[in-house]
Amino acid sequence: METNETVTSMQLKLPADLEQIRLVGTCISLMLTDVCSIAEAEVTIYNVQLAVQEICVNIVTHAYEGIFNGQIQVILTLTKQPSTLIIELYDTGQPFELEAVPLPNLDEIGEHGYGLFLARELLDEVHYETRQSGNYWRLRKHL
Amino acid sequence: MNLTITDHVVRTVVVATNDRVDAFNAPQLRERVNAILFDGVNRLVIDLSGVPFLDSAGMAALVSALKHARQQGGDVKLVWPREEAARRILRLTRFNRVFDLTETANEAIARFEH
Repeated sequence: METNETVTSMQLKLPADLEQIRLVGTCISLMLTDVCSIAEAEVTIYNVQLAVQEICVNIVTHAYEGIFNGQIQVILTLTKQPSTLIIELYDTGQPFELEAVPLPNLDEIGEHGYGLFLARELLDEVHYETRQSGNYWRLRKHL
Repeated sequence: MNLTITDHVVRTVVVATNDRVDAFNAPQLRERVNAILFDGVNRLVIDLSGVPFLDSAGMAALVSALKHARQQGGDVKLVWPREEAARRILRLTRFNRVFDLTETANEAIARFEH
């Protein structure tokens, strides 16, 4: 973890594995635990962990579907003014059509579509783009 | 006197865990619940009170259990997680409108009786 007066950052590279991605949530908790300005800190940390978990699961199960030995690079950046957590995720799996994912019909409960819905509801920004080197997600939460 | 006595017992099974229910281990929950339903039980209580973290894959496992139980004429009742953030997610996704949620497993069992 690197720290200066205004920015704290953490980088990790994980195997694209549903068990390993739990580590991202642990890192988010470590970074945010000492941030005094967060309203309802426990709920906010949980919400960020859940939103990022949903994107990571999406990468493991869709981007890397049928692909072994995939990796996810994660960069967490905490800025103090304004107090914001930015989560950047890189993978080299198949591209994703973010806009093609339908919203779940909340009046008719189903098994699919909640992941991206939750990420969008719980974060202030969910940005995705396909780059030459792979897929890039930028997630942002104002604290 | 000719008496006919029939003992009519309807089983209700409570499934509880203190672990996360997420994409990694939700398949285990599905597998266990499917085995219970296959065994002829269609009244299930899934006790989430000790669950510290629930993601959409875990929620999908709950929906799957509900659909299967209802197809068999039964139901699934949930016990609210104690974790406040998880409770809010269940409200955000309107799970509380589809599932009957209670504060304790005993309360959920009692609701099956009435």
